[in-house]
Amino acid sequence: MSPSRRVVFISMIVVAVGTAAALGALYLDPARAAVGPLPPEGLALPGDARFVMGMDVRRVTASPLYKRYAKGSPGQAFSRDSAFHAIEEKTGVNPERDVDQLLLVGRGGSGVDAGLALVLGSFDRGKLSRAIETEKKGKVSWKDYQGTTVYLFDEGAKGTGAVAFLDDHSLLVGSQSAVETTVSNRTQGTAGLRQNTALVALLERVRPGSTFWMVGDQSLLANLPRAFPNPAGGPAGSGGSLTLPSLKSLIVTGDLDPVVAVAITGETPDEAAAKSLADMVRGLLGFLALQANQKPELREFAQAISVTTEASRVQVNARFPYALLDALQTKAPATAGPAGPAK
Amino acid sequence: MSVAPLEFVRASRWYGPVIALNDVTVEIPPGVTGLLGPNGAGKSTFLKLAAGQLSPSQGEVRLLGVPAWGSPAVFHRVGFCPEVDAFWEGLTGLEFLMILLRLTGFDERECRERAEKALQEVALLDAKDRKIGGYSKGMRQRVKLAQSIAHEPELLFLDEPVSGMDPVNRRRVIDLVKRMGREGRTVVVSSHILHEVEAMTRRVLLIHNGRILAEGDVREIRDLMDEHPHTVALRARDPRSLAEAVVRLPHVLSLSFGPEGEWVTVQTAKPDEFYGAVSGAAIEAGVSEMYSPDEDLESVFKYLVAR
Amino acid sequence: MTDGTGSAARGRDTARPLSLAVAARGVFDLALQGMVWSRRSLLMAILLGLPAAVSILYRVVPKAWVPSRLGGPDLYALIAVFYYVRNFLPLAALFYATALIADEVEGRTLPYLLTRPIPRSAILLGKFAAYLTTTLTLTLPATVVTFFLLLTARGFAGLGASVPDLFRDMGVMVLALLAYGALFTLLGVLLRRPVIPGLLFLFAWELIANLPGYLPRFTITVWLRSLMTHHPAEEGLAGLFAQTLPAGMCLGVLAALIAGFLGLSLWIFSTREYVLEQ
Repeated sequence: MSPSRRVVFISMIVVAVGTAAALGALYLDPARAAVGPLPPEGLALPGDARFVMGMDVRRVTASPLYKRYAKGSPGQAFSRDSAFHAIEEKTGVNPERDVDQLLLVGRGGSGVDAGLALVLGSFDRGKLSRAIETEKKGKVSWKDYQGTTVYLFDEGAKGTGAVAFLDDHSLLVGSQSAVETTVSNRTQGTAGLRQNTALVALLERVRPGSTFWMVGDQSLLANLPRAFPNPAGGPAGSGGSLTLPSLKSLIVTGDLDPVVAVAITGETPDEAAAKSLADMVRGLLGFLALQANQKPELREFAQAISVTTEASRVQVNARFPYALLDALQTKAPATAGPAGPAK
Repeated sequence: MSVAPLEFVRASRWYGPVIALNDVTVEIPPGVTGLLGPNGAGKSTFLKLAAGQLSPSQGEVRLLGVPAWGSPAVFHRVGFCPEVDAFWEGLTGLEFLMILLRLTGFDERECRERAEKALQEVALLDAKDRKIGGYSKGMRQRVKLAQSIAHEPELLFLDEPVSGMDPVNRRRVIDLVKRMGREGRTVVVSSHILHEVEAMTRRVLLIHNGRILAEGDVREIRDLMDEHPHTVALRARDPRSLAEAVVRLPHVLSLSFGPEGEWVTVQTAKPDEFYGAVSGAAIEAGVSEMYSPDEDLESVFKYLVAR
Repeated sequence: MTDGTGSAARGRDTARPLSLAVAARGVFDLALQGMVWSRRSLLMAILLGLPAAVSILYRVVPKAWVPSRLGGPDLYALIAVFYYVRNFLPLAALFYATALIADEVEGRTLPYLLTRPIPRSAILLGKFAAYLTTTLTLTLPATVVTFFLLLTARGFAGLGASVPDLFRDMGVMVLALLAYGALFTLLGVLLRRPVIPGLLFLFAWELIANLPGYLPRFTITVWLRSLMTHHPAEEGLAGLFAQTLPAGMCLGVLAALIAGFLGLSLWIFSTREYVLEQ
């Protein structure tokens, strides 16, 4: 083999090894899930969901955002830490330590019936069950539903809340009907969320490993308000408001380390609507940038957001360094020190 | 009717306003043909047209019956040794030949056999594994010749093939060319040095200012030259004793001393006889350098054109 | 062995030139040797391998020295988009591809190739393949090494999710080298001094990609950029009007550009005379 071919061969070996390693990582990555970022337990959630949100709680608590802002002021930190301490004492669960993921599902309607939460983590099931059973005496009841114990709060009342363990690592909290539907899907192996093809298609477009994410389809977005005040005033006759084009779907993903990064993808009915929406967003960003005279950080904020279109899809990407967020925060007034000696 | 290996039919070639070859019609038969002309006469253009490197601006150039330009298949049977001293310097002599033989359609084993045979012909087999960048001028010239003959072509175009060679290798190349001519190949050798061409063949084409002045037997040219005085300059340790020996020779027409007294300049009517006669005296007088400004044909051609 | 007439030696078909593939392969072997072991390649190896060195540095320097906003994945995105696809791969294409024939002309070795029984187009194709092989040899390993060093800077979580990006990026790099290489090969056969026009194209014309409307479609970079998923924050105002064109359209246009530029180059080279200075 000539020396030049040897160099090429060695190079190809390096690339082949790298490719093999990459394929191995792809196969073994623990972030892989049943559907997009949704863990297998999430497939049992009700199929009539309009939106699904997920949060990797471990990443959130490890992020600079949590460390900076969740602590809040010295006085608040004391109450948050002590609250978590109290919860742990009662239930054996430390939210910062024991909770891995949080999934929220929104269904039609309002009130308690509208939502359902699935908490995944490591629980002391016995201690937690006792805490539930003893917490609100007289108002908590429980029953066996298809082999699963379902705890009911204010049974019989409108909007009865419920809590149930799907297994030692999965806790459902929501309305009685939502919890029972989920339990039923799980025990009977029915499709649940998987039969919601619209949401499943959106979930598959979410990158696994995101710190937080949300997908919503047309059934959610149709009910969202589309007009909101135009900070720039707007043309005559518009009433000083902006009307957003309707969205067919929405995907939000984000990370919190090392910067706050958010990606929002909206599907509009057509390319013209996408361009119109993108132009609106760019206009707003331009307006923000114009405010930089009063607050220079606004220019940097606006520049940290990019808007692109691809056919009928609008994508907004934002990346905010923590230094920028700190600068944008309104500084709390300094507390007055002890009065000085009278002059 | 058999096709001439090389034909020029009213072929002309110009570069802008400059006419390099002007209305040339000639058929080159098998055997060795010398292409003689001074620098700038059009020899290289003639050979490049013959080797399909250029297309004629007018007329035709045919190789083995097909147009030379745009017929790559004909190069299975054609070899070309360009004048320029240029190589892929990082290759060894053997690699250089093998790569070009591969591009001529031979398999790996045959490439090696032919390459080594060609290198042997030009006495470079011992240096086959040395990089061409480290070759001397004469070795470079020989490896260039080797690539042109390695595939045993029917037609061979050699542009100044012995330029820069020492007398031993010059003799070797001349013998090789003569042998190829005897084998029936068509060899066109260009040079501006008459006696080099004369050693290889008797058939010559004289070219000057892009036109064929004459074609025929070299003796006729030689006879013309013999009427033209030939200048030879010699540098010696003892120029006076050299001058004493030279002035007695019958065909020496005049003699003078050059600058600084080291040079002796001689005019002779018969240069070949002069070279033979002066050798003994040259050794005794310590001749260290010898050249002839009339060695090329420039002055001869001026003489011939003026006649 | 022949009998001195040179015809039909050992089964060789002397009535036809060598096939395009065989001839191009032979030229490829010749050209590869010259390209891989050249000063140009040494410089390119340093430039194209620099990201790998930066990645090693990123992993070994204390975290306090590294800006907190610059995570491993962010740095990788910057390297893939800005360093490779927008800058140094086009530059590598410029310096190699414009010289494919120019090197032979200046070195006066072209007659050796032109007096072989091979189609002329095989010479250019073989040299183009050698250019592509050389540049990919220098680029892909550095990309793979950079990817793994930077994406595992905070552990292996999420690595698998980024693997499709690695493959996509490598694919875009191949396309970049093909597209720019084909264009600069055309410049190389058309012009005597192709480097300056090439630089103007890269650093003036390609800026049109940052404008709104249809004008960016007349650049190469907009099609390449659309195929990449990274949108580094440092794009800033340059990314204000960034368009992401459909992937199918990008691939189609790039394929057409590559075929068009290369086809034109082959035709011009096949019909052109090269008068070398003595």
